[in-house]
Amino acid sequence: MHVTVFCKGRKLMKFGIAKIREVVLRRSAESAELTPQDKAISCRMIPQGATMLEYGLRFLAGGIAVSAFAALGDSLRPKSFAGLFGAAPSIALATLLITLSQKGAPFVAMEGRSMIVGAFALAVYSWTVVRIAQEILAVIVGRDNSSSHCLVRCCG
Amino acid sequence: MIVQFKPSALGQTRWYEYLVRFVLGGAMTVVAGLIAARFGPVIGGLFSRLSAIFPASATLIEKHVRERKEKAGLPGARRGKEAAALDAAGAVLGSFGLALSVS
Repeated sequence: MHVTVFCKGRKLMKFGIAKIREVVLRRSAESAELTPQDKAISCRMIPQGATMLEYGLRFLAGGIAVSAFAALGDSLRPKSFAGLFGAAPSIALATLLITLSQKGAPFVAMEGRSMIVGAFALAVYSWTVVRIAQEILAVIVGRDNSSSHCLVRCCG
Repeated sequence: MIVQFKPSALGQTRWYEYLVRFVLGGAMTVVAGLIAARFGPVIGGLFSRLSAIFPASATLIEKHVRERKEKAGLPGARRGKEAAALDAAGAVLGSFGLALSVS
């Protein structure tokens, strides 16, 4: 099978399937007036400026989303409720619209499925933090109790 | 459990702590986007689920609660760690909630 790369309506190159790894493709395959053995893949030449703008927008959106959720978590009581906002998908929310416009809905759908696995990983990480904090607390309480015991004995 | 909204708590956080959160959050968002562009949506989605908030919040909560206790002349280490552990427990529930909402 051969692959033909079009760009801005002009045929750029044609190569075998083994070379596909070397080519960065930004659009999904579209049908064209080609032989059944060929698949036409259109690409869009993205200028450097547009890429920098995209990542600049991601930086701003991510920073604002993280700051907003963190501020909300800081101002809520009790702390166990505020912790819900610590797990908020600020990065995902910030980049969802940008990714949707750049890569399309199927890409975002696949990312969403991976996010489910990532959410469970975050749950495990948070539970580990709780356990470690409880262990440290047990050490601190034990140390406080033993020091107060010594104090009672000395004064005795 | 009675949920309270206390805007005065925002004053406890210093301006450089807000700046650090903003810069770190933005940087992590850019990194997640680069990973998604390089390795595809499956790996990118895993890193998009990074929590930029929780690690910073847990350490800041511990620090603020400890400082508040120490201002009152009491040892704050225990209360600070208790507060961070409660925040982490909330994050566990939040993660499960997110997994259910995305699915």
